[in-house]
Amino acid sequence: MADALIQQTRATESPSVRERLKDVDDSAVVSAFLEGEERAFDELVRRYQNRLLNFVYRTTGDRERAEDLVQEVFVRVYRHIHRFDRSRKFSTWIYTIASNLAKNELRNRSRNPMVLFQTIRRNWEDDDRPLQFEDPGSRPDDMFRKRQLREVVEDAVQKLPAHHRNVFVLRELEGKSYEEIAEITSTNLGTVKSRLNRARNAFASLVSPSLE
Amino acid sequence: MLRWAVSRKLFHANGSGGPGWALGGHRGTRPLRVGTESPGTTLPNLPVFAMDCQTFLKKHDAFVDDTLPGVSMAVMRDHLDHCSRCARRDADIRRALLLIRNLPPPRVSDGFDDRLRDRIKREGTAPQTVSRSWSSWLLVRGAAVAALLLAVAVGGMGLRGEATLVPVLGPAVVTGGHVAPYARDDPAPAFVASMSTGIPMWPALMLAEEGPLLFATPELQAASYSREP
Repeated sequence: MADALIQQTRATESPSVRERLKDVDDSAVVSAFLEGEERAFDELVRRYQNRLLNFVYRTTGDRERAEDLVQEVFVRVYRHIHRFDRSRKFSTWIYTIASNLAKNELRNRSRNPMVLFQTIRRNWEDDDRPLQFEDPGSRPDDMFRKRQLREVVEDAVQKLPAHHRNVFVLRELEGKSYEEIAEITSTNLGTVKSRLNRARNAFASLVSPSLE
Repeated sequence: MLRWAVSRKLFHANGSGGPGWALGGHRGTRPLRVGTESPGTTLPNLPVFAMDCQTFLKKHDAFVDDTLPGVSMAVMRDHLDHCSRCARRDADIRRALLLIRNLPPPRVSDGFDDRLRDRIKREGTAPQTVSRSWSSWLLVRGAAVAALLLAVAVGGMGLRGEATLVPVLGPAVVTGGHVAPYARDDPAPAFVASMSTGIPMWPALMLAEEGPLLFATPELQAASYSREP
């Protein structure tokens, strides 16, 4: 599969190579990359950059740092992809790397109050961020309400304990199965279920008052 | 208004359309003692109420994820029809999850790809190779130095005389503890014989006398240990 893809990609023009890479699954893209097709790595970046950013951002709560961490994830993938066990899912592997980096980030932050303070301050100063929740056609009071709601939801995610948040984000935002989450977080299935249950209940308790 | 919108979304997202999905916690046509139920209790006056709140809450995650078997889903929905408290909880969780699932995903900033490519070009696989060779170099050298130090230490001890190599242990003092007696009234203490297995029963019985006797009664066993040679 990968050989055929390489043959095809070498025989054709660059744009169509990218187009072809878009149509194949992750394992074929990884194989193509391992066999020397550099553009396959760009395809992996394209596929995962926003998903990983979402995951890392929701886990750490720091937008800028999340982007740095996502970059670090890709650098590690680039360096270590030859060690990747191709019988496993690539997405699970890359999420495991991201999860570990996010976990380290949270650990470092808890040890270094200055970093935590800087993060909080940056979030305070983040008021001019684009209002993605908003529809330009909405009335101002609706826009205000939606923005407020979005902040409540984001705050509630951040208020969850780190190990619950990790599982919660993987399930609710990334749509991972319980088994995948267990693999990514190096925990057993029972722990995943119990953490998710607690996280859901806590999250609902935090958000519900704002919906009344 | 917003709540109504969320509720509508939720109603359609679930796709069930059953009466159990109405929001607000007041549901069903049957009069309920709203507020009197608590998780872990059942309502005795409702014959169709086949599930208690504790079971409902235990299965709720699978219910939300739609991974329960059809029959269990029906029982869960039935419970929702009759328990306003669980219905309320269910609605709260579903609304909250709907909100988070609809959060707009952040996008990487412009130039992310270029920055990543630059960094990979700058670092690429080279740093890994370099650091690995350094680490392996250190490991080999460290092992060699450790082996050398060990050899020197052993050699030094040998030069000082063999006596220093043999540890001198103090005398061990053994005292006989009190053995708790049991089965005192057993007239004929049972004994067990250690015997190799895998041979037919009769030869084993015939050879039993040749095996060392271990009495099951601790007193006799202690006596056999303390017997003078």
